[in-house]
Amino acid sequence: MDSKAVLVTGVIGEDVHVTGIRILEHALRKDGFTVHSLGIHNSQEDFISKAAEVKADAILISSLAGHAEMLVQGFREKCDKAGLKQTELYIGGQLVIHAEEWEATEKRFLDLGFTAVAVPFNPPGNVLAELNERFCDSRKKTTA
Amino acid sequence: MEISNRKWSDDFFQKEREEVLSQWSTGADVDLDDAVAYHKSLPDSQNAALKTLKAREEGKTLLCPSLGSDTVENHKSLLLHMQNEAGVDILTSYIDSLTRNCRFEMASQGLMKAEATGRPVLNGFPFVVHGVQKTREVMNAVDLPSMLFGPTPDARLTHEIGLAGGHTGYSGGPMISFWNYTKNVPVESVIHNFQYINRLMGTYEEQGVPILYAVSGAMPSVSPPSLMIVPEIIEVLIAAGQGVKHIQLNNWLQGHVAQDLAYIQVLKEKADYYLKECGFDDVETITYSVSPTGRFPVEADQVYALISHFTMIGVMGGVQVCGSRTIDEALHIPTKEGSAHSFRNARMFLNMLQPQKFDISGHSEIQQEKQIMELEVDCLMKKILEIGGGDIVKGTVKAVKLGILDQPYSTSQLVKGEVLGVKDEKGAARYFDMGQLPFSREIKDFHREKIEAREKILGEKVSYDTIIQDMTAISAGSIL
Repeated sequence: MDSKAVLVTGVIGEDVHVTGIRILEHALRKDGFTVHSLGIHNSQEDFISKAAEVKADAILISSLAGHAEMLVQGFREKCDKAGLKQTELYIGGQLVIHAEEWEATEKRFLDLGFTAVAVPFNPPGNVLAELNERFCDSRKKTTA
Repeated sequence: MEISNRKWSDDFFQKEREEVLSQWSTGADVDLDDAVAYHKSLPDSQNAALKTLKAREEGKTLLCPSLGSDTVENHKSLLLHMQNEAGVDILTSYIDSLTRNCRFEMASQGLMKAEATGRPVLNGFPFVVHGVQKTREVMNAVDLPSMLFGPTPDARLTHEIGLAGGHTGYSGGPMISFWNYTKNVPVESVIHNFQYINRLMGTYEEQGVPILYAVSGAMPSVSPPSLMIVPEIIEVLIAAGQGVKHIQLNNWLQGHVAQDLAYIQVLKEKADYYLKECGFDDVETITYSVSPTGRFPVEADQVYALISHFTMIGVMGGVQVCGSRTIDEALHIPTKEGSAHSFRNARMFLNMLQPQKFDISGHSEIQQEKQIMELEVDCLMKKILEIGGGDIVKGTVKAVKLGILDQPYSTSQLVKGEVLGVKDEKGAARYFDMGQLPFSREIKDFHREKIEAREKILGEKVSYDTIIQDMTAISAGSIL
């Protein structure tokens, strides 16, 4: 089966929470995506250099420690500068420490240039549906 | 030197000790003769190995928390509270995470801040920056034995200080440290560091000071017990190879009574079997049980029920030591008051059940679980020993590369990570994906049938979404 899309996955920052992204990687691979997993403890640069190397269609960032906003400041711009303008950015996990309405959290990250933001404990099925719609359906349309 | 399970020579060990003891200034204060004399000045009741052996002889279950604080004063008051208010039998000194990562300079700064402000800064006891005398100050203030606690890829200097400081045990191990506490450290490096720790424990044993080494294997996440038992047996054999004589086997209870009770029996029987098989016939094993980390309910009344449930399984399984989670840990780092409430709850449950010596070991469901678990453990152990040419360390290094030793959700990039567990229709953990595990048709069929039974009830195939539900089920209020 041809790969549906090339993805780079990993946890950003000094965060060791790996369960969520690991299970998502299983689901993505099984569904036909090519997954390059960076595991825990990654910097913005780690994501960018891997994405450039494998010509990633998207970068999926996981973060559970609540420091995500700090850790992804300027990430979209750095990706663009590194020639990754076409690479979409996704993020999910426990993104903020404080309690706030989900819409506020979501907007915070959309404003930082992310294509989509996943709610805490978003099931893998939802992520697959979103990525399939994004990458497979649109490709089918363009090749048709 | 190629890594193997051979006992380190004195020369090799002493050379490495010099290097380790020079990692921080307090290393210079470690004197083995003085340490042995200090241990011998303490009563037997303050030795974890002797205390647990006595419990085994008397058919008793002891209680043991896992806590630590940063300054000598804070840690002392925490341990005294656990001894006097929580009524536990064995104490622990949880190692702070900076010390666990050998960041002694940062730990030192954290400790100074804690001492200056009187408020805790570190999440455990920084053994290395405290040094031997300060550690003894804590031990002199309490009447119970205390063990070091906390997996880490390199706790060599921490052990030099902690054991010389009067601690008589450690809970952790090379496999659990590799799976869950490293990203790119090869398994052989972690094993090497643990051979040092085990060789040091063996040296104390040779001098007549029993040390209790608690292997931990792997932390479960809806994991069939063979995923924990095999790495634990590997840790047992590595320890025995360096002269460790007292080993505590850690049973990670997940809440399914028959599967958990079978786990307790199989781990003990198989650990003893492989010790003999590999030529170690003077190693004592005792058993311990605890529920794993993972999401817990926030409401204290729900956690009390869970603590009781897991204490029940431990007591019915006849373990010598029971650990427990605490009522407030879903909210923050457990307080000493929260821990005391939790352990008093466990004690009451234990006191009701233990004198009854209620024996259900012959129950058919437990027997069925045991049978399949034994097949899985033997299959993996035989394969690992075979590819290692009879040497468990060589076999382990190869087996990790091949995925014969594998874990779900490992933090290490050097682990295949292909295996996954899911619950069956009764809440027992089964293999959803066996990855590269060389299991027989019989084992594969067993797990498939159990999962199909759940699918029948669900009315759909189990999926990755089901696995997530399983992992969060207990925090949501149910085993399934």
